[in-house]
Amino acid sequence: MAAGVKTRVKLPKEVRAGEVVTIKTLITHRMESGQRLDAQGAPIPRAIIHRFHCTFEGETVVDLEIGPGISTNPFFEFQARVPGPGVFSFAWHDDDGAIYTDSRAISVI
Amino acid sequence: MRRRDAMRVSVGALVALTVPARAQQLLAVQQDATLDKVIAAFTDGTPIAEGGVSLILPDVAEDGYRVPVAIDAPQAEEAMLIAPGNPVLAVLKVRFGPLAGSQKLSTRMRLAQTQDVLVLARKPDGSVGQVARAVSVVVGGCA
Repeated sequence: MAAGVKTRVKLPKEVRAGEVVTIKTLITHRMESGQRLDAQGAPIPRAIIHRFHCTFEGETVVDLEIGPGISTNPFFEFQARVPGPGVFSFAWHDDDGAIYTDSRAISVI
Repeated sequence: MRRRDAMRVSVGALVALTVPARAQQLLAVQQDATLDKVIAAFTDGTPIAEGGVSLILPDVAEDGYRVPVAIDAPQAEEAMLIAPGNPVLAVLKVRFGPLAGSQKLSTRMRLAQTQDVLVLARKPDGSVGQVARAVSVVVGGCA
């Protein structure tokens, strides 16, 4: 597990049922592309977040397969429909096998 | 434990095992693939129509390490972002689930050089649309 990884998620705390909300997510990760060379000229192995999955109460919102072409500190903005109160779950899958997760509860007015 | 509960547990375990394995396999295929192979992996032989999806990118990217990009693929179930001028062409594949509020996604990408960035989108009826957009890159991001 890489050190100093932080996840950030931004979305409204409450919505009307059926409303569409915008979700912004970010994870601090260097996204080492595998193309760079170190000072000795040896390639630095790839180490990226290769998958991001957002679900709401078990149903998929977006599921991303990610290559090394995504920038350092991957940022994703997308929209979700909120059918009722519940919890959004976010999972970032690292090449090293670690899965970073975050979640946000949302209430319905 | 009743038999019904046992069944539920085993099905859950099966899903948990198969889903990540499939995702990693797709990535492995696309790691060193040529443009034709990357496109074929997504379309699976379906003819590609122009349009049906939009790609929002700056005309000039000052910094190739972080170029803001947005995909808008109305009604699409899946979309794929390809950078033909990058060392690894497949940048991102997004699947929009049943709770997606729109078929839009914004992120930041690396661009190694000036190139025509490509996006493919598949609708639920199986048809595939594409749009390309030229971007001038001032400082290339080693992608």
